[in-house]
Amino acid sequence: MRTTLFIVSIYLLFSSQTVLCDICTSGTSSLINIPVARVIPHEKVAIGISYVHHRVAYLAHGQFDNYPIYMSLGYLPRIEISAGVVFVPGEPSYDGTHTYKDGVISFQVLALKEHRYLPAIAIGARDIYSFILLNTSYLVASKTVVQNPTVQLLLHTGYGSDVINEHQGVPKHDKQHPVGHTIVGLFGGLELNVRPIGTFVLEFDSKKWNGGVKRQLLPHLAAELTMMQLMYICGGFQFTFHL
Amino acid sequence: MKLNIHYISILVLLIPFHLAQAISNDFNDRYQLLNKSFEDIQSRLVHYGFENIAVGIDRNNDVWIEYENRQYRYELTALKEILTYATQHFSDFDSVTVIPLHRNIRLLSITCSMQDLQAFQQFRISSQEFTNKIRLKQNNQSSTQRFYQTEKQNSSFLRTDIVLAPGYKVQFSRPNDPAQLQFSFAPELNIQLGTGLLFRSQFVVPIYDEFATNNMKPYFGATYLNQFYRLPLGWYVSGSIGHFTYNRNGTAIQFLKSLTNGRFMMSGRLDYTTASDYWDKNYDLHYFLKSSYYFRNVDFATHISCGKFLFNDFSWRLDIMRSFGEIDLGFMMMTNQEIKVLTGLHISIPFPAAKQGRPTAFRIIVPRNLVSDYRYLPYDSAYILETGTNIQAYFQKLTPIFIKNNIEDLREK
Repeated sequence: MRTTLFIVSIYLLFSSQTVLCDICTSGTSSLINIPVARVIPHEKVAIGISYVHHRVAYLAHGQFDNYPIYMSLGYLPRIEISAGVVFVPGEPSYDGTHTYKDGVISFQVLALKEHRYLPAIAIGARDIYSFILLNTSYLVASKTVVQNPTVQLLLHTGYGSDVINEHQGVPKHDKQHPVGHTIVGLFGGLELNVRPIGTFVLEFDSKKWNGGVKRQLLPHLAAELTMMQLMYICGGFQFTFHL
Repeated sequence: MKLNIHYISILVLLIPFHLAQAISNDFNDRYQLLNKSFEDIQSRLVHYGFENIAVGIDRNNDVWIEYENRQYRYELTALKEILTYATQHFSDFDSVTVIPLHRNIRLLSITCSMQDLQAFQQFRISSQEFTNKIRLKQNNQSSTQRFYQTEKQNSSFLRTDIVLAPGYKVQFSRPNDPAQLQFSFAPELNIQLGTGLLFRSQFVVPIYDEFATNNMKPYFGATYLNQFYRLPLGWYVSGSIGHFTYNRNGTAIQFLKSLTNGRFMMSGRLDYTTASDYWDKNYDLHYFLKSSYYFRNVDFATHISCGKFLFNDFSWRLDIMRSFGEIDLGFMMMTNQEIKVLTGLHISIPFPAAKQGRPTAFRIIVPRNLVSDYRYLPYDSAYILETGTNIQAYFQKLTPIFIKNNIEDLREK
């Protein structure tokens, strides 16, 4: 994976196309970790895989790298849903294997589209059902502050909550385990699209600063290269298509 | 003078007679011409693989075509073929009405002017414009005003299909097991025994079973006789008798009332069944009421059901269903006093054969879709038996709303 990321980073530096894309670890529209107030276009599907360095991983933190795989869908015109599994190779699993797996179901609703003076507003929640380890419930606002043919600058800010603090739809004895939360508190980020160089992102996800670059490699394939905590290289690929 | 009046009166009497004779001759000539050309058209549609085909004209000089599709996987593809054919061969008529059938029973009528249809197919008007011009009705009574019609051709009566269907079941997140799997080969025998009457029998050959059911022995799955009727005023009824899923024997009946041209549907179902495994043949009555609402501009539907379901649980069930053309993705939530809340999803994806062989006395085909219901936890609350009485499934997406939302699929690309 690291070799692949190196090759991608070389490609990202020297290729010349750029588009907006939302590659992330949760599946729903995000900068890197933090949500943004937009949703996947209606009837569009995004399938992605990411690599998260163990130093910044939420599951088996400090021990094992995380590999989230997800599929997101523009289910209705302003609603996107996402389902995925985070694989943690090396971590023993309850099913007897040495790869821990955690299912993640998330959704995001674009409550208000961006107007001239008003930001776009979205609400959503991640990991809302089953055994909950990566949860956050949030409200986020996004506003385009600079828009011209070559440069687009967007600001994103929001608040993540730990309001969901009980596992849902699991047997009673599993409910005793503590619920895991990812983004709790204020978060925010900057998104700079410079055509034809790339999309650069910088974010504060309520705990740490992350930065990165996103690019479209092929018409349906995009890639992301990030520096989590501005130190650890992570990344991912995303394949998109219309139903 | 008196004689002249007699002549005049004879002439007055003769004129309508000659006029009637002339009209009659004209009608006969026209009838002969229509008969020949329509039968020619009919035989071409038979050649294309459509069944129960009738072609005719009504009193307004509008042509209509009735057909049943058991060849194309997607009903809108079949409808597109018919409309394309109509554009090519009925350009002299003012408008065309197409009536798709299911088991020789009318589902709805689609009427549009020939001019608009040609403009749509030649990309001269947009999908939105055509949507506004086309008339789709679930309760069309125009069949009473037919002026001329051909005899039905290529009847589906007694035609037998063997459907080579896979069987599968999966349950994730089991303790000490990432996924429980079950695979089987489940061919089906389908015979159309008359208008609305179907015999279906499924034979299941287990291939791999981690659920340890039936000891890997082949067994009969759902085997029943089903009769479907369309009643006036948007009422439908379907009844089955036989052996159903979950080893239940008995009868099932479902009523459905379609309101507001298919946007709102109410249905009720009664199952009177017994477990086929036990000698004690106590029959149980299960029932539920269901209301469905189909949203206007997006293929999204909500279904709310409540009743006494298979395991005598009085449950509420909410299903939401989103269609993306041929793909369906839905979610369900069940609640009752015992389980509180149970969730799951429903997915239907098209099987990779967009067109089957032409219907003949006997043919081997594959299923149209692979349908799967997954429950997050392995509980069977609010379980609905597969009895073949699900009337909404008969529509095969041929509802006014779905056609309007997917009108672009009717255009030759």
